[in-house]
Amino acid sequence: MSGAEAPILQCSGIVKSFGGVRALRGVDFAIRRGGIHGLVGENGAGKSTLTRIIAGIHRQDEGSIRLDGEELRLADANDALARRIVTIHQDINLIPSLSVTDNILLNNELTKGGLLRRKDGRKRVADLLAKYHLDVSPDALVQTLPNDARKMIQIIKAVNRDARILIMDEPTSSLNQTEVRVVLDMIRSLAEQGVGIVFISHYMSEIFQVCDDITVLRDGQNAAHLPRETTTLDVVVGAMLGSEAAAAKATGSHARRQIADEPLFEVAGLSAPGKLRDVGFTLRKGEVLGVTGLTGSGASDLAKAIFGSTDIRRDGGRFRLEGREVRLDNPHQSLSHRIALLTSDRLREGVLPDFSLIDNMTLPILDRFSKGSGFLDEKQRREVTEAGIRRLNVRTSGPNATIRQLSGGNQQKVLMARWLETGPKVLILDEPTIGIDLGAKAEIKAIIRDLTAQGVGVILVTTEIDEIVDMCDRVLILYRGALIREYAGTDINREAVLAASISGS
Amino acid sequence: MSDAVVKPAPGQNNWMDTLRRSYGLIQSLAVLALLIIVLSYLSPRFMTWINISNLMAQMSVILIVAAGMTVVMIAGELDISVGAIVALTSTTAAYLMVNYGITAGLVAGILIGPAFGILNGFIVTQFKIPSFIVTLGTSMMARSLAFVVTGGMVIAGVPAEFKIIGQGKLLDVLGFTETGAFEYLNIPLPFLIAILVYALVWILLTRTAFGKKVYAVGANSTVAMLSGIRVARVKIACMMIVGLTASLAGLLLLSRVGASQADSGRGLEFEVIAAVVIGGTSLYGGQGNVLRTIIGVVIIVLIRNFLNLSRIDIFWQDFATGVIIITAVLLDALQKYIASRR
Ligand SMILES: Nc1ncnc2c1ncn2[C@@H]1O[C@H](COP(=O)(O)OP(=O)(O)OP(=O)(O)O)[C@@H](O)[C@H]1O
Ligand SMILES: [Mg+2]
Repeated sequence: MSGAEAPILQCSGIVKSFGGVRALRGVDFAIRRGGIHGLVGENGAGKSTLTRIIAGIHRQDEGSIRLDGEELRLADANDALARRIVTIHQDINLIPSLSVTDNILLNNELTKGGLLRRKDGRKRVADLLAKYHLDVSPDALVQTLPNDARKMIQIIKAVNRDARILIMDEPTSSLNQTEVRVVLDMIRSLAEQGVGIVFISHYMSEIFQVCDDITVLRDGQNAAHLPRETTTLDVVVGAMLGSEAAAAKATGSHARRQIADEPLFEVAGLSAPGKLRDVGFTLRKGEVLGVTGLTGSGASDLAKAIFGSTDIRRDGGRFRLEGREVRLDNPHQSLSHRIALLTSDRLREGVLPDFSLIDNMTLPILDRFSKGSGFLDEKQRREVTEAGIRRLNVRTSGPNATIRQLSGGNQQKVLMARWLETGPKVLILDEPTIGIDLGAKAEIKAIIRDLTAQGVGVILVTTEIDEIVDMCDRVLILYRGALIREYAGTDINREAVLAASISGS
Repeated sequence: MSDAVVKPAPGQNNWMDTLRRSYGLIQSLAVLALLIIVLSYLSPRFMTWINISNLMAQMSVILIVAAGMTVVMIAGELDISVGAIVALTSTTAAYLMVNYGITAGLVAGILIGPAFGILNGFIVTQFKIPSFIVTLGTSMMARSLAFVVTGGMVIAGVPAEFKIIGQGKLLDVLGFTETGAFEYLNIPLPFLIAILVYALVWILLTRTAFGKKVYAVGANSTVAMLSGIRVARVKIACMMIVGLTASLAGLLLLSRVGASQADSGRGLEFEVIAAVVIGGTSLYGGQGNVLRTIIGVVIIVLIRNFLNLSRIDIFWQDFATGVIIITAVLLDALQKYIASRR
C-alpha cells in the first residue's frame, strides 16, 4: 500500500494510566486506508489498552486522536461504531443464550417498518457463514458452540458492520489452522477494499504473512516501527523483548528424550454421548502427550471428561493412576488424586474477574490454608501467590489487584500458576498458551520440561501444530470423538498430523 | 521482563480510587444520616434511648434473617421462604413449650429452618430449579403447616422464663437495678444476639475457606466446580444457614411477643432481601458484605419508623416503602456504573 497517503486515523502521544498503573506512556500510532498494521508486544505492553481507546471504551489521559485530520473525541463505544471504527476485542463478547444469527445481527438488524426481517437476516447470516467456511447453523445457540466457532462468529459479526477501520485484538488466538487461514484471507480482502486494519497477534508468522508494517510496543511505549518488507523476525522479537539476545530464548527447541516405559495414568473406554467414543490411552511418567484434532473432534471434551467436569455427561470410563483404579467423578475427586486441568476458556471457566490474584490463584487449594482451626492463613496465601507471580513473571501491581486489571496474557499466566500450585501428578493443559507472548511461551515450555523431569505426566490438548511438533513425546489424533491415530517421537511431523486430523484416517 | 511487578506511580489517584470504590458505602451511610436527621426533626422522641432501644428490639428479627440472606445471596441464590419459616418455627415452638416445656420447643424450633434449608438446597442443586421457585413452594408448605399447628388460633401462655430472652435488657438481666449513667449499656438482649450472629457470619465469610467458596460459587459456579469446590454442598450449606437464622429469628419473635400466630412474618422475606440489596450485596451473587447489610436493615427499619411518625396513611405506607427501595437500588446501580467508567 502507498505509504505517502495521509493516515485516516492518527494517534499521537497517547498516555493512559489505571490508578497507579501506567499502561501507555506516549504512544504514536497511525492507520492508513487499506493498510494492514501489525501491533505486537509482550503481555501487558499496552496493545489492548490502545485498541480500547480507539474503540471509545477508555479515554486517554493525554495525547490526541485525529480521524481524517480532525480531532476525535469519542463519547463511548457506540460513538466509535457510528464512525465505522469497529473492534474485535480480545475477549469474546457474544450473548451465549442467543442464536448465531441474533448475535451477528445484534444492533445491526435488518428491519422493515420496525419489524425484523427474520428470513432475510437468517439468509444473510447463512451466506456469511458459508463465505467464511464456518460450519455451524445460523440457528445454533452460541452457548452450545466451541470456543473457536465463537471467535469466528465474533469476527464475522465485526466484518458485517461495514467498517472503515477494523481493529482485531488477537483474533486468531483460539483458532485452528484452517480458520486462521480464513481470517488472514479475510483481512487481505478487506484491506483491498480500502479498510484500514490493525492486527494484533502473538504469532509472528501471521504478522509477517499479512502486515504491511509492524509497530512494536514495549512497556507502554513505541519500541519500533518497521516496514514488513525490510525487517526480520529477529529484529521484531528483539524490539519486543528489549534485547536481541532474548530472541534466542524465544526460539529454543525441545530435544527428543527417551521416556521410561512406566505407565502413570491409564484411561479406558471413556465415552460421552455425542462427544467421545470409547477413548483409551496410557500416559507414561514424565511424558508430554499431545491430543489434537479439528474443531468438534472432542479434544477439549476429552480433557474435561477425564477431569470429571459436571458439564459433561460421561457414560463409561475407567481410570488407573500409578496402577491403582481411581474414580474421577468430579473435579474434587480428580484434584484429590492430584490430577489438574487448565481449561482453555479463560473467561467462562478460568478467572473470577472481580476477585484478587490471591483468590484466583488459591481457589483449588483453599483447604490447604485452613488446616486445623478452619481459619484461612492469609499470610501463607499471599506468599504462595507472590511465588506464583514471580515464577510466571506476571505483570501486576501486586497480589491484591483484581485479575480484571491484568492484560489477557497475564491472566492466563495466573491460571497456569493456579494449577501448578496444586502439585499435580497428571497435568492436563487445554490450549495453555492462548494469548501468551513469545517469551512467556518459552517459559511455560521450560516449566513443562521441569515438571516432566520430576515424573509428572502432561496431557497437552492443542490445535497448534508447532506446539505438538515442539513439545510432545507422543500425539493422539481425535476425529469426531474417537482416537484414530497415534504418532510417537520422530514420526511426529506437521504434514502427517494435519493430514490425519483432516481426513480422519 | 525484569520489572514484572509494576509499582504504582507515587501519590497518584490512589485516594480517588479508594473513594470511588467506597462510593456505595458512603452513599448508604449518607442516606442513613439523612434519615436520622429527618427523624429527629420530625419527632423529639426519636433520639431518646427508650425509642432507640425499642427500635433495636424490633429490628432484631429482620437483622438476624438478613445475615443469613446475605450468605445465600452471595452464593447466588435467594430464599423467599424465610417469612414462613419464622412463622412455622414460632408456632411450633409455642405449641411445644405450652404442652411439653421449654426445651422441647427450643430444640424443635431451631431445627425447623435448617431442615427446610436442606430440602430447599437439595431440590435446587439436584434438579437445577431456581431457588426462587423452590422456596416459593416450600414457603407455602411451611405457612400451611403453621396454620395446621395453630388451628388458626393464637397460641399464648409461653413460659415466663423463655420471655426473658426476647424482652430482657442487658443490665436488667445482669441484676443491676439502678442503671443511671450506664443507661446506654442497657441493650435489649435480642439485639445483642443479632450482633453476635453478625460477628459469626462475618468471620465465616471473610476468614474461612468456606466463606471464600461461597463467594466463588456465587461469582461463577462453573469456575468453582472446575476448581474442585463441591458447589452443591456449598449451596445446601448456605440454604441451611439462612434457615437457621430464620428459625432463630422465629424463636426470638415468640419470646418477645410471648404468643404466636400462623400469620406472623408475612412479607418479611421481601423486606429482608431489600435490606440486603441496599447493603450492597449483588442480586446476581459473588459479592457482598454482611456488615453493610446492617446498614441496609437499619435504613429499612427507619423508613418504616419515619412513615409512622410522619402520619402517612397506613394504606400508603407500603407504596412509599416500595418507592424508597427501588430508589435505593437504582442509586446502587448508578454507583456501579460510575465505578466502572473509564
Ligand atoms: N482496567 C485496568 N485496570 C488496571 N490496570 C489495567 C487495566 N487494563 C489494563 N491494565 C494494565 O495496563 C497494562 C497494559 O495492558 P494491556 O491489556 O493493554 O496489555 P496487552 O498488550 O494487550 O497484553 P496481552 O498481550 O497480554 O493481551 C497492563 O499492565 C495491565 O495490567
Ligand atoms: Mg491484550
